[in-house]
Amino acid sequence: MNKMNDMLQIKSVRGNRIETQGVMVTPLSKAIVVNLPIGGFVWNRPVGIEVEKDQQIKRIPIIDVTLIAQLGIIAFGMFLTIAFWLIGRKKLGNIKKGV
Amino acid sequence: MTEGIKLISESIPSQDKANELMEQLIAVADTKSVYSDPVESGEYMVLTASEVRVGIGFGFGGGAGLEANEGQTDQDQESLPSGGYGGGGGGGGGGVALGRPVAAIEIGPQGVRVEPIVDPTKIAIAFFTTLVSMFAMMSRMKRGMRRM
Repeated sequence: MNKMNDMLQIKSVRGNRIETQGVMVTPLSKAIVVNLPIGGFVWNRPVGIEVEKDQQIKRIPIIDVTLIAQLGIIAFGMFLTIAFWLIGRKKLGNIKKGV
Repeated sequence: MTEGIKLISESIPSQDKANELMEQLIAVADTKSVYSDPVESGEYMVLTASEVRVGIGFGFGGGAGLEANEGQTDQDQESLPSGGYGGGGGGGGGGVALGRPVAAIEIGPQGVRVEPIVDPTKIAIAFFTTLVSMFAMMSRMKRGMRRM
């Protein structure tokens, strides 16, 4: 289990605070680290910022619009392909039955 | 003779160098690689947030050996003088690093704003790739149905 943990790590990292105009901003990121004996891979992405003003802490998420759009297009394309395949099978079944 | 073997084994790449490389890779997992240094302009402060992907792969190997004299066994080679020794080692590797801006963070008198950065080229590539894959799949399905 420990070996597995060494190989795959998911880290939530808090960056250094930035202070300006009475606002304290802390950047937050999430990193996926894959550590293999023949190499490795790191995927680090911003997840949001923590804004501290007047002793109130607010978390603003950072949304990756490009990634969401890409995944949405691929998912929609797969859905359409499967839907057309199912319709085609149904039509073929009806033709064979003579309906 | 033993010094010769030591010299050869030192010349062969070791796991230590690979570990050093891996430590440098893990350093990418820090927030400093994702968020830029803030830039001040008048009352505003701006910093960018980017997605970073880094991957590396490597491999190495090596070997050394002694020239065996006639009638000399492997165990004798350490103690008895032989004709000579030789060895070699080598390694190779490759890597890729990708970065893409995700959002711009603006800190101003009105407060903090997160402005997403959209990459239309990537979206267009995903759209056309999906479209081509769909048509290819559908034409294969049509051909398969015609055969039935």
